[in-house]
Amino acid sequence: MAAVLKPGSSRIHFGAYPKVKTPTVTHGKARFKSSSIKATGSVTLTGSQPADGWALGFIQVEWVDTNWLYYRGRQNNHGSIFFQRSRPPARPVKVCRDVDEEATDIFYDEPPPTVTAADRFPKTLTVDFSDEPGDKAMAVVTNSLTGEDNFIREAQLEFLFCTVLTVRDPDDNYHHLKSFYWNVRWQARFLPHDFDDPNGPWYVTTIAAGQGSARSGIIEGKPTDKRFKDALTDKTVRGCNALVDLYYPDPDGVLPVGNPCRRESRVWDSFDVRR
Amino acid sequence: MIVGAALAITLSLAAVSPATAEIRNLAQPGAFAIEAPPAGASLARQGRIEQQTAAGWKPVFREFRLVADCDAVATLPACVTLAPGAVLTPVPWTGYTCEGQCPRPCKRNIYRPPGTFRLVLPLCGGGEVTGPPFHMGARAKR
Repeated sequence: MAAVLKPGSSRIHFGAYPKVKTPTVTHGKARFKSSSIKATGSVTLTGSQPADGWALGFIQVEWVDTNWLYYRGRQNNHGSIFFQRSRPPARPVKVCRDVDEEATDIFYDEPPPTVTAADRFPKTLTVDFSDEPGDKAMAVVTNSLTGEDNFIREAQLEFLFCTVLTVRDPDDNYHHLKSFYWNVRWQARFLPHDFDDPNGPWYVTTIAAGQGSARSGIIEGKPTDKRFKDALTDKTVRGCNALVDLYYPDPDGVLPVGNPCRRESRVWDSFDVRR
Repeated sequence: MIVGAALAITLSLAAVSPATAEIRNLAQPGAFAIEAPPAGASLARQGRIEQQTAAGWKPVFREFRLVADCDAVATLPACVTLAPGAVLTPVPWTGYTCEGQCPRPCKRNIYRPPGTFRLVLPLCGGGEVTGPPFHMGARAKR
């Protein structure tokens, strides 16, 4: 008899709840930070050897990403800039898999806890999960139309994830057991105390409706959400951290003039954040 | 005979001075001093932190930059040259897999300790320098 999953044995135990911190502007950069989310997953296998190769891990996808920044000059004729960092070409996909940068992994954290030939049954596999996403942006960008400095004025970032507890059998089949949704969201307005000293202190005013975090309860069984269910084990879906260079290019993380995700105006303009 | 004498001198020099850069762990886990040999050293601008696992050493942070100041990351050349005997103390590793040294955008960002780790620095021109293992413990609650 080979090893099998013990029915009803999978568990997710939540640890730390994710919280967002008020954005900051220091050393010329706006920062968006969160605290850790933590969880522990487990499942029990019964039966007997040979069973080496069974593995337990979490799989995570980011299925919604909002990421825009609005800059404006000190006065109307200094212009304004809008960066849309969550649409093509800055973000060419809707869903990404949250894996190591090389994106050849399936599990969020490799290598996963795995049954070995020496294990006895019943055998419980346990795996930990933690994450602490964040972002940053330059506080000051030069408007190419006016030649004037534009200062970050407002930003909205939303990272929505689904995290799935999954067991992989020795034949490389993935069995999704349980899942949960969670997100972190920042929205704030910014103003330097002194436009002549953007490396000094800034006023940061959060927008209550746009700032916060959430975590769902635990959902039984394999995910059925059409927005990402087919992406979970699809290695052609890009890794989330590998996408960062597209919206935060070297050397300073500012999308260059000519990038469709950078829109500029000679005045304090209104931009449609949906596009 | 002359060749033999030259070889003896070379071996003697090798015995008293390291041929390549040396990595020293500092008191704060994740902090290092990189000391150039008498001939100087040319290091790739970016090294990696590896963790000791049952299956061997595994990379956990691949963007360890040779900068003493995060503001210098953007202008870091492909190869960092250390003058003879110079000591570089880069920004320490924080323990994270993504935001492991300087602030940067991250989705997957795991705090990797507790565990045993080491710094590995590629040399420009080939080869690597491997630092001694160090332990980093679990962090206090944040």
